[in-house]
Amino acid sequence: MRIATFDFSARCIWAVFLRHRDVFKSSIWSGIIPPFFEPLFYLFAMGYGIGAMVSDVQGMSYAQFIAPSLIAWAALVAPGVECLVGTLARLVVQRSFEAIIATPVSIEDVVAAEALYGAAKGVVHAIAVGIVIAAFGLLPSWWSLMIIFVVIFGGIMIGAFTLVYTSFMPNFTPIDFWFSLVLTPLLMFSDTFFPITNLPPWGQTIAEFTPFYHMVRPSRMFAMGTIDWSVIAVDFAWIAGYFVVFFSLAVYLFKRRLVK
Amino acid sequence: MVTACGLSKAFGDVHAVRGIDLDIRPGEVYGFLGPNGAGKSTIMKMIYAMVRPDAGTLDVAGIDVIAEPRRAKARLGVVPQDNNLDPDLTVRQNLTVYARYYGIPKKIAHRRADELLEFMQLTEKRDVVIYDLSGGMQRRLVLIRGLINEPQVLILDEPTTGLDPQARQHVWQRIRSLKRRGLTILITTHYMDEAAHLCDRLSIMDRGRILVTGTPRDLIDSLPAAEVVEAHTDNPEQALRAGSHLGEGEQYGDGVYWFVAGGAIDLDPIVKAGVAQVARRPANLEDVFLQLTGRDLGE
Repeated sequence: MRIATFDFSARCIWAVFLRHRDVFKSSIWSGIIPPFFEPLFYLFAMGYGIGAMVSDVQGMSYAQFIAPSLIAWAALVAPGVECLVGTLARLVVQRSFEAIIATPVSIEDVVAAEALYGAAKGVVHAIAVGIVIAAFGLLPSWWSLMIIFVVIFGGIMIGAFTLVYTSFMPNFTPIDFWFSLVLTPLLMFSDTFFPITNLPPWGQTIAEFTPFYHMVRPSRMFAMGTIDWSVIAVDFAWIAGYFVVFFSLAVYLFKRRLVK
Repeated sequence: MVTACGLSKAFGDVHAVRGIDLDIRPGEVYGFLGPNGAGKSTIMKMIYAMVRPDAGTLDVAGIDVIAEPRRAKARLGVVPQDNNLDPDLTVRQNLTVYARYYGIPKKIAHRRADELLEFMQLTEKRDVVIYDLSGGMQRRLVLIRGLINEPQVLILDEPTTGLDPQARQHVWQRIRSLKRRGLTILITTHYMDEAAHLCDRLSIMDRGRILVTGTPRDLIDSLPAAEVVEAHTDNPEQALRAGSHLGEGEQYGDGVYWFVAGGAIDLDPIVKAGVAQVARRPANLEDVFLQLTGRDLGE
């Protein structure tokens, strides 16, 4: 299937996705358990620890305020780590991509499979975290189930975003920049742990342009069941727009890197 | 089966391949012999669309590789220079996972994987993870991985580099067996004995150009004589003088070479001149390369 100048094959994307799944199966526990605990530590430390000192935020308890963020977190951190660390290992250490693109699989397929796989990990984490959060009674509305779509589409977009960065990495050395200067600020300043209205006006403007903000906002609306569909539509449009830009860029950059 | 015309590629200022024509016939084992940097691997990578040519045309089994890389790659089996296996997976999984990229149904993939493991005598290693596999066995696995899609053309980029002599023999034997089945095979190598053993025809390459193409026999027959006296010494001029009774010698680096017809040859004067390393041997492809470039293959 050709879209613009890109050449996709759903079958090939799926084949690469399954390859990642098969490799993952060989080390399944180390892959699932640690990322699952991390948001829960935040729930206790911030939601109940700091939350005890905080009055209500926008009419909800502090734990309630951050609970949807912690689900959306999975869709940021899982692809944000997988499409950097995992992809880079395949790119420079194992040289898997060189083996894969010698077959009928195209580079577009490989990039799509990477983003999809990162998102799939996010979905698994989000479901696990979501179940615990629901057990604490922090997902009052059945609309919460809709958060899964934020996680899927947001996760793919974040995957593509991460791949753009990964395509520039010669090796593992510049990895800290990504965590310290990209993932952490996104996590902190996207309406996640405090309302962005607490930021100075310029900070708010920046926050509104960041990709993760448009994942946290709909997640919270779904969690509370106070849904403004026009806002949801805008957020999904942002996610789609970001995806197209980041994905196109990632394909271009990976082609430049892999095909001389 | 593989045809190319005016194929060229430069990486920055480095002209890796400069205007190459190819016409490789079905069922042929075709070699590219040359030192590192001759452009052999670049040609291979162009054939499996990892390198985009700057100029020229390139067809595999009648398919334009540049315009339709997917279709062309479906007919190729690729054994790259590096063993880029999936290290976390088992031997057999490496084959079945790879088969999925070609859209081969699971059942057929499993059957072929088992057949290929048998063919390469890896059956007892089938459930071993790659991390625990020796280099030689990894090489053998990469080789059969390139056969999982039953390709029409098999590309072997330095198939035996880094293998011990025994493993090498084993790989050669398997390649000959594939040739008997009628597979078209392209091999790059910097071992002249490998080229001589395996190839029906070969091109000798240097600095991005094909210097000469022919059967190993024809190329050797093109030399001035069937045998060579080869000497290595710190003082080649002296060796040249000492061996003047053998005819006009040729000096390349620290080596001196005389092409000699058969019959009795007296090496004593050269030995007496203090040249420790001197021997008489049949002429080979290395001599062809030496004559054409003035350097030996190892450089």
